[in-house]
Amino acid sequence: MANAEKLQKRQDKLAAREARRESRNEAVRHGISRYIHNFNPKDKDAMWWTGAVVSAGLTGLTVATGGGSAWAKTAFVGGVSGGFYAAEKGIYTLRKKHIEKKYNDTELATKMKNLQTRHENGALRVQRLLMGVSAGAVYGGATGAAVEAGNAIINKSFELRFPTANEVKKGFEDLGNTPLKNIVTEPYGVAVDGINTVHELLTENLYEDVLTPIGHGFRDAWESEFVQSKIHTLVEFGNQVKDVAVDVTTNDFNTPEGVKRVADPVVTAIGGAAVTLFAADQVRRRNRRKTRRQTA
Amino acid sequence: MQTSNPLQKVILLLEEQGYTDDQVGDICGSLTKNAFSMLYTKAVSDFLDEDFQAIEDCASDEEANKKIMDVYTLRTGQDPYADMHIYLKAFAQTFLNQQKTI
Repeated sequence: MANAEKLQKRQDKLAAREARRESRNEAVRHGISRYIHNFNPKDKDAMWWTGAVVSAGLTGLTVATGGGSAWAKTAFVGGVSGGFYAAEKGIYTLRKKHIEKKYNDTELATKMKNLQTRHENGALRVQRLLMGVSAGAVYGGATGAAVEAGNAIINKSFELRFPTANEVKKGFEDLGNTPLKNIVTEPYGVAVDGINTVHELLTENLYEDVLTPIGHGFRDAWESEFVQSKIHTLVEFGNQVKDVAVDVTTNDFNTPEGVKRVADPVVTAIGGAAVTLFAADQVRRRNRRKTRRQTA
Repeated sequence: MQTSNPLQKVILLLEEQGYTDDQVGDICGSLTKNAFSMLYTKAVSDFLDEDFQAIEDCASDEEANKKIMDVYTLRTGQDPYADMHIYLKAFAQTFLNQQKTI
């Protein structure tokens, strides 16, 4: 009995430690994702570049650890903020040594702004990759996950921010070509894993994390006849999925409720994804027209 | 928990000092911001205009990613993963040393 109790205690302790680790890792992932989703370099001037990237080395952690909130002040007394400041200042000095051989901060910010205008797609591709590398390395370092695993998670969420027109088109084509029976007849565990991933990536904080950074034109795009008609199509699509789900109850699921449990999130996720992509595409097209008019 | 990973040591230390998960998450977000700042400023200052053009001309994102890695290594002398490794190690070591002196 004593041994059983000891074993139980040990198992409880391990489970608690694992839960603690998972909770921390999730917070790390959210912290990193928040920064990525809020980073939107489109149409920004040199002043923004100075603040966003050039001076970030010295300001980032100072804000995180000493931004004026009560906990930060407490931390400062404890010396944590001081430690961050010293570490970041050292890194910043090293970085400045490299950069200042060629440019000062103002010149560099101007160069970044001009690059964004001259080679928008090239600059976005470089930003996206380097953001993925930095986020993946920090996530991997903080959680002990392999860098590749961190990259995969971060890149997936980052990709949502800049869907290209072709990706939007392909997204809808894929949606139209999705073999519905395959979705709902997948072995239950696999289906649920897939659905959870889609859910997490596409519908979690849909408005705040994905749509807000795309631009202030979101409301117009959302209310446009084009997007509204697509929403209607998606609702119809969702109903079809449900019908199919009921038809296949005998294959992999024991009850209609079981199928519904799988089918409903699929409808939500795919619908959310497609609407997001269409709304994004609308904003993109509108901004492109605006830029063309300004250029002309 | 024992770990040899320097950044995890920093995080465990923060936890010991009462930092919540959200605060640790925010700090990791800021670390990402600074790391990205380092990598991107390095790229912008060292890449040539034709490098950006070549990246833009790539037919797919996969091809562009490979091109960026090659150009980054060629122009700066090492790949961005190596830069990140140095950055995080230097950050964690300086931070931990600073804590010992406080």
